[in-house]
Amino acid sequence: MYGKPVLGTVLPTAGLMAAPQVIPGLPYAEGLQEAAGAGFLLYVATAIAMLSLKLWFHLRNSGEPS
Amino acid sequence: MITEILLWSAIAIIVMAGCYNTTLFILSRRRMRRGRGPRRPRLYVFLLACLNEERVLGESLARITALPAGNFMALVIDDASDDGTAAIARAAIQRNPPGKVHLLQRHLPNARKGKGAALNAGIRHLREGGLLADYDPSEVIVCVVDADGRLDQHVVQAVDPYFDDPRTGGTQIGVRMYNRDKSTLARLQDMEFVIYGDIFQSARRYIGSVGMGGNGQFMRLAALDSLLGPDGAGPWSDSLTEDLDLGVRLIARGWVNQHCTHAAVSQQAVLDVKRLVRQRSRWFQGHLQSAGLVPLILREVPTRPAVDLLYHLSSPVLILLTSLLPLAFLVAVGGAVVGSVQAGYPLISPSWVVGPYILSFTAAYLYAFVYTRREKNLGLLRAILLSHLFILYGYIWFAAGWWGLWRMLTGKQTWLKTART
Repeated sequence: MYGKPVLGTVLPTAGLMAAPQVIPGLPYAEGLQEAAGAGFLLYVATAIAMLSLKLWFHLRNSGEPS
Repeated sequence: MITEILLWSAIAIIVMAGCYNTTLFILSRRRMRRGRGPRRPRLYVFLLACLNEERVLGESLARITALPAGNFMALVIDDASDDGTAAIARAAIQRNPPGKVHLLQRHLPNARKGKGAALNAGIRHLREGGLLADYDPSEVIVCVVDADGRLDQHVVQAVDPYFDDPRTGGTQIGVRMYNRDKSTLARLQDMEFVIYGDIFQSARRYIGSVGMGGNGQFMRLAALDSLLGPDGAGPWSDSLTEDLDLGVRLIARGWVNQHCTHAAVSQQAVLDVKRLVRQRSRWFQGHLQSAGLVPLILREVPTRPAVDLLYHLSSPVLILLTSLLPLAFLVAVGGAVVGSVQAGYPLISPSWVVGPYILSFTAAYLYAFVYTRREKNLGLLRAILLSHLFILYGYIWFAAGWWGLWRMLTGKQTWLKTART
């Protein structure tokens, strides 16, 4: 997809971990970034499951007589 | 602890994608060696699926019929247009030698079922009309061109050697915007297609996962025939991104997809942000629909291209996830500005600017380098500034993504065609 270059170029809030908690709106910013992080962990889990399945297909096909 | 893991996981998306992009950039710089077979004379068939294209069709047909290619024909598939599309095609038939231009007119209620259905009807028409009867399907190359597509004059000479390798099923050429000088938005679209072609598509030749685009897509007829369904259904699916679908199915059938960097098709850039987001929402929705290809990829595609295709197909999910990050950035920066005013001293640390800049804009320098190779007159400094803008331009995918997801969840399937200007 043509949108792929954008994936490596997103503006994150890298300083959130060290930000002083007195900043108004910070919990919302943290919440948004945490939601993205949680989604990514789910993505990684799904990716691992799919790659395991691919490996299983690969091993099964390579074991078949030609 | 959990909060920190989640916050760092969000950063990990950017790092992962950044590593992927950098790897593909390095791969794209390598010279590609092609498999060769005997040279054979081939028939080139240009298919133009048209719905209300009177503004642009004449110019595209004129360029196709002027190609210095010996054996070719063009078929205009009029998908029940309301305007003068068919009249323009008929005029081209009159102007050119017999057999060079053909017209297929589709009528409602069987027309306007999407681009894939129109292209399938085109291939069926060529076969039933006996126009391909004298040719070996392995030596017939079908090219899909948008009605606004202006092919480079040397396109056939550039593409033909790829088909000397009998394993080649399809070859995608580069895509440019012919009105890129009209506005910054048009220039950024041109940059988007150049970067996609010259980095991502070029690198995917080594991985074996080159994708097909909707414009400038050359396919061997024998490869298309291998995709025919048992019920005789045509090679193109009814997906909103039938090009993506076709490319993946070709790879699954054992064909090799190539990307040709020596020729391009130029199309019209969208000059209005709202229409651009609408166009991208259609592509995004089509991409979401393509999740149905995952079982096929797992079963039939070799491991290396399969991993890349899975990443490619899952990129809409990553786009939706990462769309939350600039939003978080804006909220945090806005809050910090307000907090600084209230406290009377700055609450923002330099890490708020430097870290995000490095994570977000490092790629801009690579993109500027790649783009100046195509646009030598632009100058490196201007290209670097433009590519910074390009990074921000990419954020239209966030709006398009959520719109596309909404359309999918609400069951909307209509063809949101981009109007020509």
